[in-house]
Amino acid sequence: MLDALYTAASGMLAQQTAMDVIANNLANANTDGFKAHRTAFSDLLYTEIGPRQSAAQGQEMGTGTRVTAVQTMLGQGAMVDGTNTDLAIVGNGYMQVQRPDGTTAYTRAGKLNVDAAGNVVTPAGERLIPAMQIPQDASMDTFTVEKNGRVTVRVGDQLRVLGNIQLAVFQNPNGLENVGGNLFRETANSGAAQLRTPGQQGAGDVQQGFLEKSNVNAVDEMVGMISTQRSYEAVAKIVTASDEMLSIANSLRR
Amino acid sequence: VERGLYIAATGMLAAQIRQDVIANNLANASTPGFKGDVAVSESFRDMLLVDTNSRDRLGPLSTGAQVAEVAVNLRSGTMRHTGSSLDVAINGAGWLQVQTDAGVRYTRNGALTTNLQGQITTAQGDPVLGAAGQPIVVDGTRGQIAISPSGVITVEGREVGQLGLVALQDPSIEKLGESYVTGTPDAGTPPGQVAQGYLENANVNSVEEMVDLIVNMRTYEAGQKVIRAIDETLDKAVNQVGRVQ
Repeated sequence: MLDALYTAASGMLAQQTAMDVIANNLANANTDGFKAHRTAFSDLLYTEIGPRQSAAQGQEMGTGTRVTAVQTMLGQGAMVDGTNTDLAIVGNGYMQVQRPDGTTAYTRAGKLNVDAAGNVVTPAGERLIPAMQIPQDASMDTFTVEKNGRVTVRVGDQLRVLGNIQLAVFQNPNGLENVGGNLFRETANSGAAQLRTPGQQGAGDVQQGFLEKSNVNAVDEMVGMISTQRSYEAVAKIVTASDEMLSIANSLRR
Repeated sequence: VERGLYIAATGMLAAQIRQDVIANNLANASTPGFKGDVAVSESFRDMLLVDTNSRDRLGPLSTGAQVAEVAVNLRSGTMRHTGSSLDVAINGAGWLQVQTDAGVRYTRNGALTTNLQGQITTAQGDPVLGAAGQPIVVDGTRGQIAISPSGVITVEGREVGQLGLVALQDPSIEKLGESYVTGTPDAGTPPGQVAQGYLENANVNSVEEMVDLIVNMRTYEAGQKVIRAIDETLDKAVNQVGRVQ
């Protein structure tokens, strides 16, 4: 009896997911290093409603839509000016940070801080890998990150090398898992991280003094929101219309 | 008179199927590369009515309507710019070839991605086939993927493969869900060009579908009215004509 009800319901569910994704994108429009997501739709299986009468005449009826994937859009975000502890990656790579549980996570949000013990950390306190410690009497004005990832700071007249930032690249960056806090985690789908020296083999350059903003395009998201809402409305109309048809059928018997 | 009851019922049944088709079209209005369906109705074969007493021929009568075919509307959808390097739309009659577990399938849903082996895949994870029938491998760790209008894929200037587009013979196309279709390749038709950074919208026209929805519902309602009218007639025949005072 009237599959249209369920077909339309599948459309409403899918559009709800799409709206959730858009809401998250817009909410993170100002999150450093955030990568926008996109809902991928496809149609559901088809059912034969009668014998195929000839090669030219199909008798299949669709049963709705579903969300096949929520894809991460990997495009570069806009670069904005920052302080000398801000790093942006121009290219494919990710910086490595250590999470409190000891595992490695990857980020493109390069706003670095120094904690009380002198460690170079993210705003959330995860330590950068490789670990770097700023000497107590160092002047932070001289904190320098070269394009090849070498981090130096001056202590008095001396130039101290704190370490070399390496960038992680992945065979399938679409497979990285978003874990929140601007961080990504490697998965079986992304493949293991391959460490590269910045500026080589497509890893991208490290740019000091810049921050990568999110790659969310507010206009695209707003247009997507309108189209999602209207699609939702259209399938909701199908539900009402199908309901009315069933009511018409029920009133056959007076 | 009872014949009319069944004739009206066939019309209502056909309207239900049309309703299902409209629902599927609108539910997939956001599916890239989706091709809408059209339910084509036809009348039952006419039969000749003959007066049983006089043997006079009264003329032909059809005994109802049915959905003869659910045809796929293969018109191209409009293009939407996404800017994503692995989004492709096909400008022309071509389809992308996809290696699924069940064999080669075809799709116009060009929202592609890559898998762990670096193969270019559909959103479902099935590898997209190149011109030689092999999956196309790109090294995700290296720079920008560029796809030329003829489907040649280059990563940072190095050619890694070519998308194998095929045109399909129209009548052979059968939709399978998951944005896939089967069909018979048609070597005679040029498959068209690839547009990188674009997706093809579903070719569903919401306005048309809404109008169809209204028409369809009213057709259904009209069928109901006919049944009720016949019911009332039968009611009179049974309960009033034969009433003994």
